[in-house]
Amino acid sequence: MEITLDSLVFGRYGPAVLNATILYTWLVMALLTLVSWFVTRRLSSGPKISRAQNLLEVLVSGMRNQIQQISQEAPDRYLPFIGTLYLFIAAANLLAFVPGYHPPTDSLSTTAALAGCVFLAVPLYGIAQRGLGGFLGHYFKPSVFMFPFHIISEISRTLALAVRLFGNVMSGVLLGGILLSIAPLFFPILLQALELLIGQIQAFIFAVLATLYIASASQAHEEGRQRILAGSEEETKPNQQEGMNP
Amino acid sequence: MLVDWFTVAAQVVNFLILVALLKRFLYRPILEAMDAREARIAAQLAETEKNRKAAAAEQTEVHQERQALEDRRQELLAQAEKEAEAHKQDLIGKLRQEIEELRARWTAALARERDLFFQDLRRRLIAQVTAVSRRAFRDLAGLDLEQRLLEVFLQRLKSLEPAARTEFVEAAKEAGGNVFITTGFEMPAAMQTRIIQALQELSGQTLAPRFESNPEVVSGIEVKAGGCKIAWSLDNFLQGLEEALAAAFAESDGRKLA
Repeated sequence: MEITLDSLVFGRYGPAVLNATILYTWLVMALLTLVSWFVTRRLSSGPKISRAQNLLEVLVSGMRNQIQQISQEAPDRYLPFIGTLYLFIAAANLLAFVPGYHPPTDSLSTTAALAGCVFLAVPLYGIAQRGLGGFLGHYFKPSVFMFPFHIISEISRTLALAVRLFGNVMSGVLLGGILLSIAPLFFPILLQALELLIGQIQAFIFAVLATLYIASASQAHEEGRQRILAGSEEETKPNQQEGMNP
Repeated sequence: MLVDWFTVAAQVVNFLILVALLKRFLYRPILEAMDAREARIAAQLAETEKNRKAAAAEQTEVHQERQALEDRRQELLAQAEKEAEAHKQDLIGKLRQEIEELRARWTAALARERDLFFQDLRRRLIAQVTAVSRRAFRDLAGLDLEQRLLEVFLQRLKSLEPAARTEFVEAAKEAGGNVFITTGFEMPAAMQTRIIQALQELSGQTLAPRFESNPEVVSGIEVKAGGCKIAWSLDNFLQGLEEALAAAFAESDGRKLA
């Protein structure tokens, strides 16, 4: 039984390998891009809009609202990155009901790549927002001795991000395969339905955590000022973040 | 090995490409369309608000105009009522005046008719009384009425008061003895002679009498000399009767009116 899609190689050109993970990723990418292009080539800004446009608007505005609620900031800066994370993972997991398809998130390479992107995005957004000094200063607070722990935290949460998604999707696929061999009728369908739900939840969790990491790195310098300006709001924000953090 | 590092790198690149693609084909157009719609709705709302305010202002204006019109209408109505009342009072006054005039005219006509009636009554009475008297005199005493009247007149001449006699004499003198004797009947020649004699005795001068007959002088005789007149007729009796009748009519009218 194949544990990873990476080993399913279709072609090789020197060090470059075309495996199932990359192929299915392209498939998902093509699907998302084509659907977006098809719907957005004739957009209407009037009161009458097509159903597909309405769906996409609901999706985009829903993501904006979520990002705004979690980050407490203007969402448009984060939308392309966070939104694409969510859409890619959600679409990759949702297509699992298509026979013969394997979600690319079933590969630890993919989830590691996505977690790596988040890992890189955190300092990039932080530096863009606060400047290099301001961002790096964050690692030495409240004292210099906290620096190693900050670094460990960054690495461990990135690893957790990658392994959580991979583990959930892989376990679902694996369980489906095992159940199929034990009880071929009925149970695999139920499990697959559950797996679709878990896939969507994982997409949401991944996006929410990415937002939290990026937003907390970008916002850290504003906290002091916000505490002075609006103490009550600041009191509720950490609670929200803790509540959302699984 | 669960992680293939080439795949990881490829997936990172893939993901970044997907971010760019979705940014180009999904987020930007959708956000632009939503922003455009929001702007449009905001513009429409602003326009609606503007129109609403304009409508409210216009409504207030219309309300004020209507109120002013209503006030004006009430004012005109009150004025018209006042004028109508004045006109009514004027008309009533005129009507009363006309009625008064009509009543006065009617009263005057009534009085005139009554006068005419009394005149006619008197004439008929005189005629009747004369006829009755004449017949009574003739049947009872074998006397002629006219003759008896002359006798009475002659008696009166003789017993005339000195002042009246002097006045008559003076008047006859001024008239140059021209004396007009008027009777209600044709006087016989003998009678005329007696009258002349009596008058000449009274005035102590020669007179030039002129006789004429006039039915107005009812059963009587008038002697005019210049501005002086001596007369006696049944009319003097009948005058009293007429007054009594008029008094009786007036009393009867008063009772009716009451």
